[in-house]
Amino acid sequence: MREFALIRAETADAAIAALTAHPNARLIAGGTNLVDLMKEGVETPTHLIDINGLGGLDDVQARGNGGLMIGALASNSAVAWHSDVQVRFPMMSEAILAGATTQLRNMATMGGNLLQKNRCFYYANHAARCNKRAPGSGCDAMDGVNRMCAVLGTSDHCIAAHPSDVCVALRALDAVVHVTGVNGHRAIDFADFHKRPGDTPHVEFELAHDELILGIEVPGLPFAANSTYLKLRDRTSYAFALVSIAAALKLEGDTVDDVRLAVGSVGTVPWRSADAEDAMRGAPATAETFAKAADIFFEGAIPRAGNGFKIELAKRAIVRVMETLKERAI
Amino acid sequence: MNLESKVIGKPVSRVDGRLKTTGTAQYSADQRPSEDRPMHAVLVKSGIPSGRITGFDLSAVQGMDGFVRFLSHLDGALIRSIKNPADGSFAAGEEYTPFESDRVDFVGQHIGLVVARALETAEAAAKAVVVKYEASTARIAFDSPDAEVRQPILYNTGEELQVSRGDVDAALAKATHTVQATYTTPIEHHNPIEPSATLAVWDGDHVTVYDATQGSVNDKNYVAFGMSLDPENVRVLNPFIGGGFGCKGFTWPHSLIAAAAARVLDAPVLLVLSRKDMYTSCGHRPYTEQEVTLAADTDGVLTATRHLTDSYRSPVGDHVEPCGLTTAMLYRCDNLEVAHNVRVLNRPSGTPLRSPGEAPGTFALESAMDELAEKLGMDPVELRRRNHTDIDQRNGRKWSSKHLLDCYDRGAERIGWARRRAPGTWREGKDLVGLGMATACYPGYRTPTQTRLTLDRDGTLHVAVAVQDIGTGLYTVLAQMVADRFRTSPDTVRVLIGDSDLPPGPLAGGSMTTASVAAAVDDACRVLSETLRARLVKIGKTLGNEPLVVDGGALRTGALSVPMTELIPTGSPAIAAEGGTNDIYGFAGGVETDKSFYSFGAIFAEVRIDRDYGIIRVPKMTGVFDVGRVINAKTARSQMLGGMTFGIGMALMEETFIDDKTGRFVNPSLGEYYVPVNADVHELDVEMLDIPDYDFNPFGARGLGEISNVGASAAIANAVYNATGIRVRHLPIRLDDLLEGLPR
Ligand SMILES: Cc1cc2nc3c(=O)[nH]c(=O)nc-3n(C[C@H](O)[C@H](O)[C@H](O)COP(=O)(O)OP(=O)(O)OC[C@H]3O[C@@H](n4cnc5c(N)ncnc54)[C@H](O)[C@@H]3O)c2cc1C
Repeated sequence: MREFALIRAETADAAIAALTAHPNARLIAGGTNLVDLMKEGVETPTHLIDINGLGGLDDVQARGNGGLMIGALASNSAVAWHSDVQVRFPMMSEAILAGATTQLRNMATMGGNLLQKNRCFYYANHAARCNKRAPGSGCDAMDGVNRMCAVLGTSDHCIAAHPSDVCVALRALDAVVHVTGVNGHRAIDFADFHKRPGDTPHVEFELAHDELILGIEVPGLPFAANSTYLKLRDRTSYAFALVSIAAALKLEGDTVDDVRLAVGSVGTVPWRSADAEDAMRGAPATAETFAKAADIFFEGAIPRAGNGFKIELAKRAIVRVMETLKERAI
Repeated sequence: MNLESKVIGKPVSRVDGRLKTTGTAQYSADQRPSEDRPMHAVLVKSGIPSGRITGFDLSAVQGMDGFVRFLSHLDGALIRSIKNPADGSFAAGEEYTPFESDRVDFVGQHIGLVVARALETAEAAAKAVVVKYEASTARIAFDSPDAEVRQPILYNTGEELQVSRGDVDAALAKATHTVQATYTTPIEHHNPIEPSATLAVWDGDHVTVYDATQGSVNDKNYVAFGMSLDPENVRVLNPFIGGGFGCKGFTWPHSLIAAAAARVLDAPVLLVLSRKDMYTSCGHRPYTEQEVTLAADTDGVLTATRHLTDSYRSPVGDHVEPCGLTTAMLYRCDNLEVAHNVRVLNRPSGTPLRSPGEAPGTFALESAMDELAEKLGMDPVELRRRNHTDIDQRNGRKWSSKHLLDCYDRGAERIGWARRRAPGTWREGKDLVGLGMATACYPGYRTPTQTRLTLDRDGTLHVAVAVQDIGTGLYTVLAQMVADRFRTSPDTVRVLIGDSDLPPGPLAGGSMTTASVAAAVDDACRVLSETLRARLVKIGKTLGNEPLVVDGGALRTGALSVPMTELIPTGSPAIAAEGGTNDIYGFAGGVETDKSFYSFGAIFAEVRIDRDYGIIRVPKMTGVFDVGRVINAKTARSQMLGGMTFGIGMALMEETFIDDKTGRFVNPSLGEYYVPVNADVHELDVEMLDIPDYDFNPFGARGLGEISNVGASAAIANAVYNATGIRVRHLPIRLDDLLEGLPR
């Protein structure tokens, strides 16, 4: 481990000032991702700015419009077990509880979860080529062990899948990320927060070096009470998803009135398809409709040698999850 | 004989349980024998698969605060050349001498050592050493066309690797029912929770090595050889080991490197391997490709068997994965061919891992038997019954004690085998359900062991032997065996193991420790009894033939009861006795007998497979085992639960990927190498037949452990076939192997 200086920030302004002063500083919240990457030498900050002392950022506030404001420092566990989250947005609670382990969820914060790095086998491995870690070095996952990698939103430079569970739910729920920095506050749509790799796979987030996340706003969505999260993986716990589904469904009689659908671990970012949702809205709530939407969802998917199965697996999962939500809605 | 024993076979809780569960047990890296804080060492490992080291650039390292020393082959002969261990006193995982030359044969080979005052400095320095190489052609891919291929003659047990009986081709030409298929098993790693660790402390010409090893005596001889010392000047201590599974069995270079560094620096040196180091420093199970051909007549009687194994070894480690050895002995078959090919590749060295040979070998053989049963339209259990034999097919000897047919019966009943249906037809809700089974077996091994027994004035019996408890329960089992012979409680026995200065005992491997110490303990107890009787006579007591009983503060026999204080007057030493045996069973050059020794069992698995997703769950596994006498029902059952859990991991999860271009392992971490979590393990149902085998040793125990993962992966694979109609011939079996073909 290389040496670094630890700065304890008591206020957001102090954190911003420290970030501005040190170009190679990193904020540290739960540390569950950052510290691992420091041990691997992937992250080599000169300064760690501890933001756990910032007040007022660790709770979940219910909003009058049925929405929530989740503090960046709220632990993953606290959010998952919060009754408003469980009642209004079960998919979020289920997504968090499907991730990592109890101990990790107790440490991990929501802000940190949004910024967690990918789990491609070649990313944290210095001997491998990885354009995210070492821009321009190449991508060993392309022709390597890419079973966990993405099929949507990939580029010639990177195929790493976005690993977070709760981000899939937040994408489905059109969350808004509130950040603050030298230039003041900004609200960033979740869809814009995670960046596809394109030609710059190392640029992963819509977040400047001097900015920190204050909170995540989840707008009210009454029918999200009928939502769920399904995670499919190689072992029953303590494994990242092969495919995951976050979905909410509202019926009008036998017709789909409204729907939200995001799929995890298939895209380089948490993935959503407006076309797939449009294809369901107003259509009969049948397996055929869901299957058609699933096909649309994966139009343009580019499988590699090891991960083509994800497309079929996800399509089946979409249909089954929608069928389940349909039964619950009736 | 001892079936009425008060302690043998009982579920005695571990005598070291409290130490372990309270974190009080001291493992190798925890030891701090002296005031001097040890220096911390970190390995520098080769980054290329083949070539020469042309130099080290230490400029980034030298100024580091707390950096002490960098050692490599440039430091002269730190370690005596062990290329050819002439005296055969130890078994090493690799036949090469660390830091002897500039040659590099695989990625991860130890080429240097950084020593620093703090671990953090050593780690940073090890990363900052720049190694310059001259690379040469490497053969990494399994199918490298110009890789040297060898046909090794013997496995490390002395068993023949190339076996031929009768005429396989002629039998195949006549056969009415044949199956032939190729099965593959992946690279697997041991992943014990405690990484290997060595703390070396010199005192003049004597070195004490606190080493996480499965064999203190073997390790002592290795260190003595490499350090050019008389073995008496080396003491290896390993009182607690956090699992080994084979990777701490043979010795590995890091032990010598730590000892050499401590000698050069004249200070204690601690070398703890990182999890990543563990993937390339102490072996793995190599990938195997196995072609199995079986032919049977219409009654299912095998007429021909061929099992060809293709695997690899590193240029410096000679481990062969002996997949066909089981095939050569298990079923009656007059026409048989077993062969093993080994390619020499620039990959890290292999080594025994949890039933080496038997586990991957039975995946192939027992899957093929299932395919044959299917082809014959015969129940898979029935097919195995028809090929059952009481004769060891390798040499015509009778098995000492074999109750495999009972294992099939009991297992079938316990799992509810009668529920089994035609492949792909059993549906419950969204699940496809299936049952599968396989035969399990494992050799009975015994090696020379000596034991010292002492009775002291307060009536405590001390048993001492240089063996180790790698988590299996040996401390407890030893206490039980001694207690049994003196008709006392295991609480009155103190067990001293994990120290190479004690009378020599075997390596903890091959499920042989209990069986080996059983014979030695029995002998030492006999010697102590004789000594005690003589002492009683000497102090004027008259005694009959009744057995001796250590009863608190008194020694009793028949009606006679003599206080220990009278037996051992104040000032006299405790009464000691040594006993043991030099007999070898199960290895080449062993005792000439007309019997063969093996344990047998049957494993049954039920699987439930989501019919859309192909996710496989194992709601129940049953294992019925014939392993001789069970000494401790609790620790024995724990061994079987562990082995069957390994079976689930091997069948469904475990795999290390290698990059064929660079020779690196791709997923060297517990986050990326999956083993089962609790939620993957459901009902594990274990039954022991518990029939003593007194031909094997006086306690009738054949030893156990590894047998429970032999056949386990095949049982699951066969259950997957039964549930889905999809035959997967590689491990692990994952949902993507089933997705396309699932009968939805
Ligand atoms: C073994 C393991 C298994 C896991 N399994 C799963 C899983 O199955 N599913 C899943 O979704 N996740 C999983 N995770 C990831 C886990 O969810 C993340 O590690 C965690 O959410 C990160 O939160 P943290 O507070 O610890 O972040 P940290 O490690 O403290 O920080 C992560 C990053 O976020 C930055 N950061 C943190 N807070 C802020 C802020 N307020 N503003 C700006 N930047 C900030 C840090 O600078 C750093 O770059 C797993 C992690 C581990 C170690």
